[in-house]
Amino acid sequence: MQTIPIRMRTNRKTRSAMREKFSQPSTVVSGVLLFLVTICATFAPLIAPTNPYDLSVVSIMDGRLAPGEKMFDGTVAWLGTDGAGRDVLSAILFGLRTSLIVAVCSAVIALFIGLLVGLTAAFFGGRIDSFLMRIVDIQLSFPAILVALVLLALLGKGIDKVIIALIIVQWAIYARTVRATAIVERRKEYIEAATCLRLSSFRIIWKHLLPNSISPLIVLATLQTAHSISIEATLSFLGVGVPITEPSLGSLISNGFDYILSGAYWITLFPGIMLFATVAAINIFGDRLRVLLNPRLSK
Amino acid sequence: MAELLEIKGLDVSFFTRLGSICAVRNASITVKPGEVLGIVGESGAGKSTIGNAIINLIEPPGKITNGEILFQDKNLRTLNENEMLNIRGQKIGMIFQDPQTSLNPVRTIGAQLLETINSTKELFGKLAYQNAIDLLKSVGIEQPEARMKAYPHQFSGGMRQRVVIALALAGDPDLIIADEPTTALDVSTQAQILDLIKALCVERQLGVIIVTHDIGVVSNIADRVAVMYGGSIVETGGVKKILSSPDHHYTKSLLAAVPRGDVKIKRFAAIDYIEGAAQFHKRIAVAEHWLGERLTDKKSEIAIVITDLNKRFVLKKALFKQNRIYNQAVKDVSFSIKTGETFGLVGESGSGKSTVARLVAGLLSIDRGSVKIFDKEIANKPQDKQVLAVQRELQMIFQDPFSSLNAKMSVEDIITEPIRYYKTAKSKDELNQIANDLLDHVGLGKKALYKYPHEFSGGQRQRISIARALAARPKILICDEPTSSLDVSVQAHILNLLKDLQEELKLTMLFISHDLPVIRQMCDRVAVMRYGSICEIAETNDLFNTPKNAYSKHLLGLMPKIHTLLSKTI
Repeated sequence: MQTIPIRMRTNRKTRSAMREKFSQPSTVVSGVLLFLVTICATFAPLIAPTNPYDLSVVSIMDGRLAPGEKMFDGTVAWLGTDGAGRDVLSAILFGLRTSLIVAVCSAVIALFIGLLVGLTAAFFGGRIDSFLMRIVDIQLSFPAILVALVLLALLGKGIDKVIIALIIVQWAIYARTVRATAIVERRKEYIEAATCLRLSSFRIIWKHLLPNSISPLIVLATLQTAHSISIEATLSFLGVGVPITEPSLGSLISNGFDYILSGAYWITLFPGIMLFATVAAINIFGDRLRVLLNPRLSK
Repeated sequence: MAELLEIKGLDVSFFTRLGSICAVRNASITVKPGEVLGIVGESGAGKSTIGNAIINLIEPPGKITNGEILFQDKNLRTLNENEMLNIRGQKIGMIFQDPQTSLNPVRTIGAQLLETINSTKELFGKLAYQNAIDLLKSVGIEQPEARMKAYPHQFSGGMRQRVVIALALAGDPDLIIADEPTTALDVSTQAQILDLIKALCVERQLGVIIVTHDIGVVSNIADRVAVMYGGSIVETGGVKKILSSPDHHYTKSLLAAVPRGDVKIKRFAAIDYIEGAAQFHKRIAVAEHWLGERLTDKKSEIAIVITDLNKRFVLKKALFKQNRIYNQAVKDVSFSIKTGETFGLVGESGSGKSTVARLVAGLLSIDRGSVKIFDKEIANKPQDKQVLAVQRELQMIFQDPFSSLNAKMSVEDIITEPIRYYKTAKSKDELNQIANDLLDHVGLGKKALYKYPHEFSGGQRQRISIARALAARPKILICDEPTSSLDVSVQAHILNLLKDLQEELKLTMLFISHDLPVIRQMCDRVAVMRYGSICEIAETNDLFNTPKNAYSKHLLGLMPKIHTLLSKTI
């Protein structure tokens, strides 16, 4: 029995522990699903059997075909067609694309703004901190969906408008989270050491505070992406989100709502399943990520 | 007398996927009733593992692989979990290191005591209450009836530790295992707690095992000592014998590394037994070395002058000034430090010594008073260019080596940051050269450059901190308890390093510590602090030989006197 040097052991241990954690069924399933969803959304124009928005292809004659029936031009509509004769499968792929673009763009920009505000508040403290955090409080005291509805009513329709609305709804959550982590890091002695070296505040925030407070944000960002997909779907369902010419999963669901009582369930059901699967995959993956990145939660 | 506890050939191993690690190897100890056995060793020596093995609380993947633990002639290894539970509560009591965490913060002291009494003695109602009161009295808590209703946060650290001792005594145990019982406490509280343990041990004829890294504690309380190194007990014997004429080379090294409170020695000698200590410090020829190149060439006799420094913290915020409650952390502190001198600040925790350091370093704003560094007033002028230039010549080394390095930066980035930021190196090659030199000076190899802080031990991290401070080419170094979280042998190395660097670079040092022997070894002059003000400033020798202030006398009286036991040869 020989004593093994500690250093080597921890390295090897963390690596194999990582492998062990990643090989859990929930991580694998959600990861694979997430990967597939991303691929489908990215390559939608290449994968989709038809282009549902090319008016020269769409024919009203194909309206409300049940899943598996053949369309007029001979292609099989695996998930049926909607009232206007568009292939639901193709519509879902294109809709997913819109939904993901909206969610990821808003999450990234909101993350950036939140990071800036949170780090500034935590680093300078005092009045700046109180001022910024009161703004955050005000922002957080309104329900997200309400703020988004009002904003969209003011701004009008369009993908860019939805993204702006989602950023305004979300930045405060990031700001609050990053401030909480950064305020703990701020009190640690390496920040004091950097202050002793008289480095500029910008450099201390950028090189010292940021890298040490970012990991909870990465997790939050994944979870918030899922959240913003559902907010966007809700907005589109309510008719204030993306325009009908660039449908998202939400507007597809709302689109099929008129037909659900007449038996054409597929127009609403399949986009709904897709929405559910995407949000669930991102959430589960984010949750696993949280466990992986937080050494206190993992055993 | 019959042995209370006898451990024969104990082996404890931790099984990991990369093979097993032997934490304790062939350990044998005995404890008689009414006897205090000290187990000393450095972190990782396996001393706590022995304590846990006795009460069978070794956490997986650890396992006892060999040996016998005989307690009152019963082999504890053969008992099942239920029988073990009875032994643990009623026959063996535990005292843990941190009284902060070993009491439940949301329940009253009384509730916790009664719960323990209910389950161990099966006494209930009035009888249990009376028993609890008696216990609190026996550990020296005043007004036990009132204190029963108090919550742990209403007690001071020392009082909490008394309650923990009361809890350990609740089942009338025959053996008490105390794992670093005083490490989290101040010197004066430490002395009281140790006296209490000793008194209880004699009065109740208990066997006591004290696990500690502090030889001072052992010399105060123990009858016999077991010295552990790398999982094995290298030496056992009476406390006088071990401390005055140790046989094993490790014990000798360990004792030599303990700072002496009685005389000042030039360096800590003969501490080479400890692993990783083989690096030799290369002397720096300042004249032609880059560290000798100064940013400014001002010569000044006095490095730091502090007059009437005041700082208070807001304890309770309120809109109106008269409703706010403040804590006066520093009150009318004045002293001056000559260039090239080491000035010590000593005091118990909460005396404001760290606050003074942070005020001088410009990390906190100054309420009132002045701080002059090389004749330049720095009080509350954070943006002044000249002030910034002066402040850059003052660097700080912090207490906690685990939070003082940015975990996300490599060692190379950490130590070259000031050089890159101020562009004091002319080329990339020069930068690399400087980084290598710095690591050489602080006794770390070149390989360390590309590693990250978590790959180093506490002592090595402290060396990196020192390298980072040196990279800014300071003239003044503020050391805030730089060794208080380190093992004695590592402490000796770091202190030696600081002494060497000071001598070679003619640094001025402000050295802060609660540890009097360390202060004695390091400082030329000392200020004793209490409640935010200075009680006494004196030359180190004068202070230690003829203290004038009553509080200084009190502090010095608490200093462990192990070296009076040592033979003159070490």
